[in-house]
Amino acid sequence: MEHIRKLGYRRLGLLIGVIALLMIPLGITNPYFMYVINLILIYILLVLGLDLIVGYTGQVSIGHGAFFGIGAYIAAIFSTKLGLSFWFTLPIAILATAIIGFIIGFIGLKLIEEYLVMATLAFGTIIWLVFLNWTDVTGGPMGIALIPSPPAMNFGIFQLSFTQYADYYPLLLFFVIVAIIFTKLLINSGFGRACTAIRDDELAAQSMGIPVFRTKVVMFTISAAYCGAAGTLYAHFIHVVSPETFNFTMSVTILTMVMIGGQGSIIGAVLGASLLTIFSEALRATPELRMLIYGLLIVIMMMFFPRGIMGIINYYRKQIEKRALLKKMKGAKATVDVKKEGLGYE
Amino acid sequence: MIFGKTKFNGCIAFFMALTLILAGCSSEDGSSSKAEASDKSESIRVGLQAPMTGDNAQYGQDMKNGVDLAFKKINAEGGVNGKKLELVVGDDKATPSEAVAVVNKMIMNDNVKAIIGGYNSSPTLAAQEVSKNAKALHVHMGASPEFTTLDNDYLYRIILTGQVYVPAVLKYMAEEKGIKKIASIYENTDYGITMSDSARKAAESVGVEFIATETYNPGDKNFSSQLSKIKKMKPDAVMIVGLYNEVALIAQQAKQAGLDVQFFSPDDSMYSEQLIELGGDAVENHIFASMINMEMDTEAMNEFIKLSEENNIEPEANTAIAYDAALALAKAFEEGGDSPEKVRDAMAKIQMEGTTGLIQFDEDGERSNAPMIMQVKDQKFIIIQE
Repeated sequence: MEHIRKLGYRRLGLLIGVIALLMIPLGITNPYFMYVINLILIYILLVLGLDLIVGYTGQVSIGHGAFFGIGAYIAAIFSTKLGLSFWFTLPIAILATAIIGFIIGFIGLKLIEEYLVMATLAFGTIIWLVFLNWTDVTGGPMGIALIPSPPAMNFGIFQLSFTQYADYYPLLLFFVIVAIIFTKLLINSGFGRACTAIRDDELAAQSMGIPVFRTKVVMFTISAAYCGAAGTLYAHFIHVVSPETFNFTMSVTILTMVMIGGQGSIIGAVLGASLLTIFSEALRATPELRMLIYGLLIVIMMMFFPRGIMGIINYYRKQIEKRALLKKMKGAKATVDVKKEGLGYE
Repeated sequence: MIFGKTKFNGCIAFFMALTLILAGCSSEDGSSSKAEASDKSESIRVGLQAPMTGDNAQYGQDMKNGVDLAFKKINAEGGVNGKKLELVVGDDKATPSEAVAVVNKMIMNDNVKAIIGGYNSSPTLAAQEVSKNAKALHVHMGASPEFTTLDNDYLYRIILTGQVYVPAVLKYMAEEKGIKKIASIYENTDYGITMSDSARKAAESVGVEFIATETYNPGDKNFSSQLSKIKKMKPDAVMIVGLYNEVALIAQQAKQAGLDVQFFSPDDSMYSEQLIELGGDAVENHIFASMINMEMDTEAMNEFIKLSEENNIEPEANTAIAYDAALALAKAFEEGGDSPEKVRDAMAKIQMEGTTGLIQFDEDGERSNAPMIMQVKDQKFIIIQE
């Protein structure tokens, strides 16, 4: 017990959480649920990546589905045509998407607000058309099939042979945890603070001496690299890539996940990715109504909770805190609401 | 403040209404799943992987109708070995990733024993890996020649491949119509590409030449640039590889552009009453190869037509083909019983008369019936060569 107390309850909770997450495959015997959980993990990576640029830097992109696609196609091409394994395609894809992200960011981030949205939209469409029409390399509308699984891994006590969906789970979970830790470190660094400053007030940030354009481009590059990694994992997990997966709808889906979860929040990213994936899978029972209900839910979410789930949670937490504060200071009148810039829940 | 009080109340009311709607939707499902649970052992579930939404939704619906008819017939006759057949519909949206997802769900979550579909090749290519691992029979309607080379014993194709259709129709065009120069316009999908590849390969052996190839994307509405290019080449005939909506549009726009030559299609993808409805006079004389003739006077076809009239279903070619697939599958289940290996062996050895003629598969899971050549005459489909 002494040990546990020393460790601190917060860390203990984290430890239990991680162990519980690792135990999930033992508890779920239905491979379909495992498949959905793995899909959620891939989406979490994507959402974390997009959130870096949308939630933390305040630049809206609806072209991130293309980075996802580039990652997936690079993995597919290098693994099927050159026979490279997952551990080689992953860094190649991350590097390539980062470079393309840098170029796109360098050109696009000179634009602001809706013009940037249009530019990223155009980029996403161009990349989709490339996937569709560069038949010799991308297989055109047929896409690329028979992408190999990652090589089997042996950890002594347990083995991952990647023949069933449960085997992918630890690998994907590992990448998600790494991404979460990296995001946390990045956001709390000076660079991350500079990004949030740009989001809250670009002019003020500039007058404080933050190199606005450079910061934005670097963040866009990192954001693209996240999507590249997610794409590689997706290709090796689904074993097939085809253009329709990475069209405009995918970009919008990721952006919706960011919005619904709550921008600028890691927990929000996890919640957004999980909820939307589960919704879209659960509605498979009614194929004709699926997109209708899905769309309706999103409209309702955006109308009533524009700050997403984390926005609601934060709103109520603040209310409770305020009430507690008022109780403490008996007799004092309700204090004036101090307006704070930013999202206020980081 | 995120929302005001009135907005908040409104939102709660909205959600309550939504919950009610959803509950209303799911209560149907709930009751049926309860019924399934009670007699789970007494039913065999079969999944349909087909495009139920999007550009190809009509084909998915046709296939669903066909399978529904077959299952109704079998269940009315007492089912398969006393077990009722039950259909689970999965929408693959004609995309590979959706197909993988939906076949996964149907096999692993809904416990289906076999898959019928898909309609398009690339989703089926992606999804057959899942059904192969689960040892579930997969009876599909894809056109790609790649299926023949796959090492999957559980995969069967209920339609003929492009390699059978294309030489037959080209031979007819060359010998009967004296065609030498052909221009082709095909849809830029796996189906269009594989069909036009087979055509180019077969062209030499029958002595015709492809002088122009143009492509379009599914959903395109304007084909004037392709058609004017084709017109300049002065072909003897134009081959359109596509589905009925595009074939009808292309034929109409060609007429308007003054391109008055023989049009033909290599297979029966456009064999639908919709073709004549949409195309009208423009599709008159259109020639195509088909594995099925809806007017044929056979026992199986008459029964199918009767069934579809009773159930108020439009008897389309795809409906009949899916109906055949469902009947063949039911027969395989009847002979194979509970073991997936035995069901597969029964399917491999199957021999039965269907609406599409004799259903029987070779070692690659392909059918080898000879296609017929058909033509649109006076707003009707007639056979011009058996």
